[in-house]
Amino acid sequence: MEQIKEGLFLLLIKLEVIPADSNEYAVLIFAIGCAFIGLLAVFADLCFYLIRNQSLLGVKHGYKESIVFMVAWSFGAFIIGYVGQVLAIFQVNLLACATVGLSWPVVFVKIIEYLAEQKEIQKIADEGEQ
Amino acid sequence: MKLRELLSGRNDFENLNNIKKLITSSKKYEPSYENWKHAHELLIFSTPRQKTWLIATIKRLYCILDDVSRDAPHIAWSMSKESLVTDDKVSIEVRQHENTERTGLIDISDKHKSWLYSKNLFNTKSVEKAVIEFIEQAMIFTRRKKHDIEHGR
Repeated sequence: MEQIKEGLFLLLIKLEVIPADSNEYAVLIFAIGCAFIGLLAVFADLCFYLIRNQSLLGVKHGYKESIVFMVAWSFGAFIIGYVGQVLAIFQVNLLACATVGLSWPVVFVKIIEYLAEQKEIQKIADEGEQ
Repeated sequence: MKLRELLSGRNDFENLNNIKKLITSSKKYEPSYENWKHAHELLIFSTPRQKTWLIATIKRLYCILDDVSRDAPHIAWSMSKESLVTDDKVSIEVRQHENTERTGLIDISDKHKSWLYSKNLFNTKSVEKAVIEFIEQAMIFTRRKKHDIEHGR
């Protein structure tokens, strides 16, 4: 637990990269970081909604709706953060966390496309010139 | 794959003129014999993300991969006419294999194997036939035509 707390402090407050070999919970720390940024994103959207009466995330904010959306968005970011780590797409840093937290549906679609296209991607090779 | 590659890249493919012009960057390009402006082209693979071109001059066959997730297209390989044509006939073997519903794999000689091709680009003739005819057209018929013009036939 201490390692997770320390990792989150380094990632979110000190903006440091957490190498997987220095913290065995790097994947979990990253996924929690994504969820946290996701939570902040929905909270920022709620503030925007209260000021401008318009939601950038397309949410109709209300007591219940906002809470449900915050939970769903953060949970989605958590999962995509985890999947991204499994596929070795992300480094454990705040920039990657912010990308996933703010735009995980886009990242999700891209990951699905990437996996579906795997057999249809020409490997970039340099086979020399004879 | 990195996040940057997943999300970014160029917006569009390089145009055909620039693809052809790229062959001049090859160490093997011989400007005294080859003219990129008159090079023949055959698109063998096309997806929203990648295109593979075969570009042929009378002296050399180039394979160029244009991947929008990369900064620029690049020459993946090239082969000299001597390794492709003997006695005015294409001497290499071109073979295709199944891959997915939309794509197949093509071997162009024993040196360049398992290159993806798009099946929908080869509806009227097989990819093997298309590649052989393409090499013939660029390296044999073009040379003959040039020779005939030079000798006033």
